Amino acid sequence: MNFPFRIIRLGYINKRCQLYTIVKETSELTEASKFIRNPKNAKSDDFDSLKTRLENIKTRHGARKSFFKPEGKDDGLVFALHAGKKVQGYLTLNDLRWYCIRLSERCVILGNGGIKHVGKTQEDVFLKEKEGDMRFVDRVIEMAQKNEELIEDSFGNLQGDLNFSAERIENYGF
Amino acid sequence: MDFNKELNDQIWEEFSAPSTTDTYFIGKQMDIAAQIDTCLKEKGWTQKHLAELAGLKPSQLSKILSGNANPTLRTITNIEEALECDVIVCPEFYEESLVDNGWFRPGQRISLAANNYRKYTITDEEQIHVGNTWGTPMSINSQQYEKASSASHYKLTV
Repeated sequence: MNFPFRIIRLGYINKRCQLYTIVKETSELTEASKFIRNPKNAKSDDFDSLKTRLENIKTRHGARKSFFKPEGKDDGLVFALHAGKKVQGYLTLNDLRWYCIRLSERCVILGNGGIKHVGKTQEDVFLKEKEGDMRFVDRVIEMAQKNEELIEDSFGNLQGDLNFSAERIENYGF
Repeated sequence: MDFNKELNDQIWEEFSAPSTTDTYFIGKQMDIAAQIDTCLKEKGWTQKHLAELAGLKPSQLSKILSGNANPTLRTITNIEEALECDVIVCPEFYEESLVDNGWFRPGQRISLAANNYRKYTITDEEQIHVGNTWGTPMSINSQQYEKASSASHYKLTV
């Protein structure tokens, strides 16, 4: 699904990795805020763990690829931050996924996410939509980077016009 | 929509990592993962190759590298031996063993030969400036020293 959006820096300049999120034109909240404010996510055992992991990524380790789970089979940059699959006896417990675009070790754009209850994301309407949103944003960013309208500097800061209007997206052929 | 910076700051504040019983543990999990990842990149090996050398299943190594695992000391030392790289160290004994083996820290005075003390200062990643106690400077380039996996100690190779 196509939608106009803006990329927003989340917080301040970090030592190892810059964090961004997106806000849809029709929305009051950023996608990262929606994830944080979702009470179902906050109740998850993984919630605090994900916060701690993100804190370490931005200040200490950077967004190393191995910290993230690739989402989908294509070679896009959509990943999920997660706290690992937990197995209890014969049961695989539900895990919390926070979708993002990992542009590099120094730059991550956070989206929404939720608790994965099913084996495949495609079977969960909500998660499928959230993953699809990030996949769309990934494609738009790829176009903007190709056109040199969006540049990531050596510290992971995004430079250029971060506002992706309906007209601009249409010009990209979406 | 006008972005509300105040709201964003507030949300970010809400999101700031809480200090829980797991905070330190997660930090260590990620330290170990990141250190192995760094050594792996320096070697230019694949995860599969390292897993084979360390006697691990690729999925086991993948989980350790994700920063979500709780590997045993045996597993970590197997990885260290395969990589020829320290992953975890005990500072007191580690530093002593480095110095005993000829490694030095930036700014540390070491004896290269009898009555010849020199002070080494690392100015950047590529060059070490060496000066003796009388201030006579000389430079050596990156071909003439190697860096310990701890990245805090150096050794002359000439």
